[in-house]
Amino acid sequence: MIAPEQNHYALEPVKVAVSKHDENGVIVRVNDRIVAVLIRLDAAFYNEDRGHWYLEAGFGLCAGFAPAPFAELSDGLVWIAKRLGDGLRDFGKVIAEANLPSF
Amino acid sequence: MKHSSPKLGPFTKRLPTLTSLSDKDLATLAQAADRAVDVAALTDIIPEGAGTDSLHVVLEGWACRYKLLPDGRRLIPALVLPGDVADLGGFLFRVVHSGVSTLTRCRVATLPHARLRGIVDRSPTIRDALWRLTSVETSMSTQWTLCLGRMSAEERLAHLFCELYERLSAVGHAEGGRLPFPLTQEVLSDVIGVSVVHLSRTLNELRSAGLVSLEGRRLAIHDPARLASLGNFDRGYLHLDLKGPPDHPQAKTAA
Repeated sequence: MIAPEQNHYALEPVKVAVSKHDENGVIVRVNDRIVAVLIRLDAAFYNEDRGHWYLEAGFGLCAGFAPAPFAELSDGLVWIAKRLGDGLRDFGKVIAEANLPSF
Repeated sequence: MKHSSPKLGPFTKRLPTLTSLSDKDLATLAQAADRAVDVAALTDIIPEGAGTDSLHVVLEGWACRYKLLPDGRRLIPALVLPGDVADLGGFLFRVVHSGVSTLTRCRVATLPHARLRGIVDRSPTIRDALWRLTSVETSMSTQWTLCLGRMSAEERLAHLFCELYERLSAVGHAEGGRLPFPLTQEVLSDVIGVSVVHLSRTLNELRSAGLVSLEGRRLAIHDPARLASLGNFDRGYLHLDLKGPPDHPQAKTAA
């Protein structure tokens, strides 16, 4: 078991088939294992959640009932880190390294 | 709370859908009820696990039974519509294990347990009606368990819309494919056991498919047959067909 502070986070931009339409999202890997898929809520029918990030799928410690959508992608990563027992950390570098398309 | 007349209104339409009650029986029940009171929206009628010495009958508005987990997650295992008793289980045990809360402003009549016990001791037909009401609740609860445990979100929502239409029609609150629909997405998500985000998507799917539309606080069902098929809905479990058509399975059993 790797100590939490050594956990390596990586993001991969993906299109996810949600219901009957595609949504932009990211696969979140920690130490090369998929822990979550976060989706950006772009459709108008999301109302006040529009533009926020939603835990579409969580695996292992991130599984269970979805939390309320996150205002920023980094908030979602902080939530994941907490579930994994990681301390607070700055995910700016992880997000920058992912070279995500402009959502 | 604002007091008004003690009539039992839609409750006296609801009960005769279950069993044959005479006008005298219905009048006896109405006389036993205390004055109806107005309760504001989103107000507990009975907090979770609280004791009670009366049945609460919703005359106007929508209420629900709910269960909360310690971290605030909520499930709404029953919607209480006009004419429904909110806390039937409390009659024998004097405690209601789920909370009962209004969703909209409601008018609620109370039937004191002590008075009702006297009535059921004297009237086998009223006792039978209450027993049937309990059985219908069990039947509905089983159906909701099936929805929550085995159906997709789309199926659950379609099933719920069909059920609400049938129940509201039975008390004269819905017709022509239209029904009042005062639920917020948050409440609806707790009824069908999905997140608000997933509920938004599911609702959008049903709208896009041309099955339903929401206009203000009213729901329009555009294709009842397709909606029922999608929701695996068969109204038998609601037992609304006491005097149903001869080919109805319930009618055959009763014959």
